[in-house]
Amino acid sequence: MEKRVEVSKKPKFTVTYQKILVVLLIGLIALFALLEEGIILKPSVLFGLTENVVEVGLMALALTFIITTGGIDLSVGSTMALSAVILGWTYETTNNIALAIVLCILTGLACGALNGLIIAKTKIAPLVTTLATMSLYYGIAKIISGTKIFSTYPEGFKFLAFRRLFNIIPYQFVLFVVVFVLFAVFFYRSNIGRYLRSIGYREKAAKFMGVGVESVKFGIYTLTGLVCSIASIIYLSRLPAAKPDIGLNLNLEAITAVVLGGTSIMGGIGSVTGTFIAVLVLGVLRKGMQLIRLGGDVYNFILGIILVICLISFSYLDSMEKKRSGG
Amino acid sequence: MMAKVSRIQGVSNRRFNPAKIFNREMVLGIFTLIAFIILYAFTNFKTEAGLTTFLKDVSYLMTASIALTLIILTGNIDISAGTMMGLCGYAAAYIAKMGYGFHIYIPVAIAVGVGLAGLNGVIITRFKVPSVVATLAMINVHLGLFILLPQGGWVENLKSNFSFLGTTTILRIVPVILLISLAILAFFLWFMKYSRFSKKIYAVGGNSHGAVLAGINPDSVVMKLYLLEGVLIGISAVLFYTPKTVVQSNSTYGMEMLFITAVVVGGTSIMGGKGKLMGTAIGVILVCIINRAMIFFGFQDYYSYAVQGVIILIAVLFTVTDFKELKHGMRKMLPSNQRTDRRGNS
Repeated sequence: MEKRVEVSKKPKFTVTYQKILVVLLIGLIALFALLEEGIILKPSVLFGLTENVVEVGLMALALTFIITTGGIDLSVGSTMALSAVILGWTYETTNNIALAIVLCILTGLACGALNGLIIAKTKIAPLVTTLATMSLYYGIAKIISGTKIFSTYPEGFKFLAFRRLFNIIPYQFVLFVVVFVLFAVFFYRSNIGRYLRSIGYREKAAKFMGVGVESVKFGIYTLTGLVCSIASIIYLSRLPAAKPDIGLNLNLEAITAVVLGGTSIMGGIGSVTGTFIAVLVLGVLRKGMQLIRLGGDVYNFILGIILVICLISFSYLDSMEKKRSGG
Repeated sequence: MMAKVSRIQGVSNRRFNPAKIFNREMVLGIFTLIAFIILYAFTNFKTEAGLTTFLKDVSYLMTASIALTLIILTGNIDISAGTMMGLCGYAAAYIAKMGYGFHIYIPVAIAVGVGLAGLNGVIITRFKVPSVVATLAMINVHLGLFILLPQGGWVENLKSNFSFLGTTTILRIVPVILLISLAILAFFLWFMKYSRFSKKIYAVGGNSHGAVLAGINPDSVVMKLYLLEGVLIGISAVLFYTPKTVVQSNSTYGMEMLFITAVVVGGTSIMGGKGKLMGTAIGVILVCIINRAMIFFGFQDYYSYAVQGVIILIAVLFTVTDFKELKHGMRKMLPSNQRTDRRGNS
C-alpha cells in the first residue's frame, strides 16, 4: 500500500509557488473559520469574499500583463478615480447614465493610451511615467470635482454590487471570473502571452524575433486603462461616492496582489492564475479582519508581512530552480 | 557621460570648453532662478514668513532627496521613505515629550531610521527581492505600525525643547535647519566628487555585472547606502517635524513621491548609473518653488498635483532626450561639406 503511494507520488509533484499560495488561501479560510465559529464557511459569506476586492482584482489582472513585460503602472488608482469622477460629474450635469458610462470608459482608455504612448514612444521608464501621470490624473480629478462628492446615481446602477446570481454568487464576482478566464486564455494560449513574456525577458531579442514591442506595450497600457474604468463603475455601484481620493492606495494594493501571485517584478515571469488566487487571499484576509473586528491598518500590517514572506520564499524557490537547472 | 567616464578613469580633461558649461544642471538652474524671480517679484512671497516657510520646506526635502539620489543611482529605489520618516519623527517626538533635548532625540530618530532602512537593505540584498516590491511591502508594514503606536502615532503639546530647533532663525529669515541641510549637501557634494565609494555607486548603478568583475561587491555597496539613507531620513524627519508642535506620524505618507519627483527632475536616471547630486539640489528648490507658486498665484491646492505630474514628464523627457542625436539631426540639415562624422554614442 505504502509503496503504491510512493510510486504514484513520484511523477513530477513539483512545489510551485502557486500551489503554496492555494495552501495559504485554504489555511487562512480555516484559520478564520476556527476563530469565528465557521461564519466564513457560509456560502453567502464565502462567495461574498470578493466584494471588497473586485476592483483591485480587475486592475491586478491587467497589471499582471504589464509587470510581465517588466513595466509597472502606478497610475491605476488615479485612472480609476478620474473615471469615477467623470462618470459622476457627467451624470449630475446631463442626467444621462448611458452617456456617463461611455465617457467614463473613454476616459479610462485615454488615460491608458497616454501612458502607453509615452512608454512605447519615448525612453522614459514606466515607473517615472506612471508616477507622473498618477499625480496628473489625480490632479485632473481634483480640478473637476473640487470639494464635491458625486453621489447621485440611478436605481439600477447598484445591480452589479447587490444582486446575486441564484441568490448566492454576486454578479461582480461573476464578472471578475469572466475577465479572469479571458485574460488567462490570452496569457497562456495565445501569441500575445508569449510576446509579453519575451518582452519581459529580453526586449531586444523580442524585437529581433519580430514582436511589435511598441504596439504590444501601447496595447497593454490602454487595456489597463479600460479595465480601470470598468473597476470604477463597479466601485461606484458598491459605494456611490465619486471623489478623487478613492484610488489613493489601490495602486499599491493591486501591485501587491500581482507580486503575491508570483509575477516577477523584473519581468519575464508572470502568472494570471497566481494573481487570481492572490486576489482571493486578499479578499479572505480583509473579510476575516472584519469578522474578528480588526481595522484596516492591521490588515495593511499583516498584508505587508505576508508580502515580505512571499517575496522571500519566491526568490528562494527561484534560486533553487536555477541551482537545479544549472547542475 | 563622456566626462564622467574620464573622471572615473582619472584622466583629466580640464580644458575650458564654453559648450560644457551649458549642461543640464545649468539649464535647470537658470530655469529655477527665473521661476524664483517671477515668484519674488509678483507675489507677496518676499515677506519674512513666506521666505522662512519656503526655506524650511527646502531643508527637509533636500536631506531626504540626497538620500534617495544615492539609492536611485544604484538602480534601486525606496518608496517607503515617507512612512519611514513618519516613524522616525514619532520616535524623536516621543523622546522629546519625556523631556530630553535634541542631543538625545536626534540620535534616536537616526537610530530608528537606520533600523528601518537597514531592514529594507537586508531584504533587498540578502534575499534578492527587487527593491520596488520590497519597499512596497514595507509601506504596508509601516502603515500598520502607525496604528499600533500609542495614541495612533500622534504626539501633541510638544514643548520648546522639541520645537526650538525648528523655530530658531538667523536674521529672522534663515532657519537653522536650513543650515543643517546645507551642511549635509556640502558634505555629500564633496563626497560624490572625491571619495572612492561614490565611484562604486556609479559603477554598481551603471552595470552591476561589470562592477563585480571590477572587484566591487554590489550588495555591500547597496546595503551601506540603505544604512546611510536611514541616517539621512532620520535627520530629515527631525527637520520636518521640529517646526511643529504636533507630530502626526502618518502625515508623511505619500511624501516619498515628492522626494522621487525632486530626484527625477534633477536629472537622475531612474535606471541608475546616471545623475548628479547638484541636479537633485536644484530639483528640490524647483519643486518647492512650484509648490509655493501654486499657493501664491491663487490656485487651489489640487492644481499642484496635475502640474507636478506634467513637470515630471517634461523634466524626464529632457533627461532621456539624446542631445548628441539631436545635434546630429540638426547637422544633417546643413550642407554636406560642413558635416562631420558622428562619433561616440550615448
